[in-house]
Amino acid sequence: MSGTDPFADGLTELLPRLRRFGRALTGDSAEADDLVQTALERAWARRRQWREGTRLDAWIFAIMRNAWTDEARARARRRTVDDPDEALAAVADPGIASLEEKLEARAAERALAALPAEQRAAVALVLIEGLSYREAAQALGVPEGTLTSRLGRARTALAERLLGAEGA
Amino acid sequence: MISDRELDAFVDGELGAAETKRIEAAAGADQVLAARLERRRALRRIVSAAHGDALSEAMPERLLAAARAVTSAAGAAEVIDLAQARARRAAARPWPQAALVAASLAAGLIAGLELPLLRAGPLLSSRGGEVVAGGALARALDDQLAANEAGRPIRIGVSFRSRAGRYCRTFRVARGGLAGIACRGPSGWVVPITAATPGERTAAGAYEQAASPLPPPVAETMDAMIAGPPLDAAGEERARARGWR
Repeated sequence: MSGTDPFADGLTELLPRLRRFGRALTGDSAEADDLVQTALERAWARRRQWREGTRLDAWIFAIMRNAWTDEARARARRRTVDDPDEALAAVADPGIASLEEKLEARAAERALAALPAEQRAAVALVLIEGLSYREAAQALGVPEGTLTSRLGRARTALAERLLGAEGA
Repeated sequence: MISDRELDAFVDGELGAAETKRIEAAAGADQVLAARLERRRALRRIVSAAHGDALSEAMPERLLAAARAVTSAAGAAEVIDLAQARARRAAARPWPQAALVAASLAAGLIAGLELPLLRAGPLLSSRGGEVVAGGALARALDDQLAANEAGRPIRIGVSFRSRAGRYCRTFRVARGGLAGIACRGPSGWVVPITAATPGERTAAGAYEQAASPLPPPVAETMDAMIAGPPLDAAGEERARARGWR
């Protein structure tokens, strides 16, 4: 059953993907949910800025990304250190079919968490969320060339970690 | 020579039809190129599965409410401060937001309630960042069926399954001027939303009337949460027999 407001319906439908994007950014499921909630509140406050007919997902991914940047800055000022391994261990893991796939997904999550934040966001938007280069660059507020070079560097690091050296 | 960047764009579906064909043809004739391509495909496949669990996990009711801009508190929307939220989690204390909500609800309730309703403890309290039903409200949610509700201090409206797979029930505290939704979690009834029901307390005897419509925030939240049709009388009895689990 859905309501009558397409904006509310759209956000509701996007929820699972917003949580996934939040986890890719933060590496922590509880923190990801807080980030999603913050982004939803900002989205409602800025509802008029969203142009109907444009992608709602790309728009709110941008809001999430900015909210996370604000948060990361605040965190750097506080100089707290989080252990990404511990954070990842807390992520629940039902729903993926085989053990092999599960292990592979965990490995991908660890490799993702080891990337610099800017590369991580680019990978999450393009490789996980399936945005085009243009949409992802817009969501991150960078030129397309910047996005693709971030993606290129990220891929090199991810491939080394997940697939081993090229030609091996 | 086809560059790494071009192969990446190919795997990402960013190339036009002509370039796509050119690379496919080249890979068909060149094993080294085919291997480079395969490596990129494998990487994309593995990475794209990261955090896929998020797509199939139960959705917290607070996010469902936030997507509809329905405040989970009786007051105005409160923007969560991420840093504060983490600090609170770290300290394993219930969120002040939830505590506040619970306190204000309890205070608001007591004004209009006959004492026996509170004898079994507060109707709502805060636990681990959530508002949970207690006392007479928890008992009503456990035991009462939506039919045959006339004259009871707490009335059950609709029972339904949420998208998160939980049994949820709308309730109304007749004299408390309050309505809400409660969902059966692993350790009790969690209350994602409540709203005041103005009018019931002002008109004497109005609370004895048959169910009036739910307050709009509660109705909208139910709309966002519900999966399939509400339970009928038989469905309710079966769910009750299973302890709403």
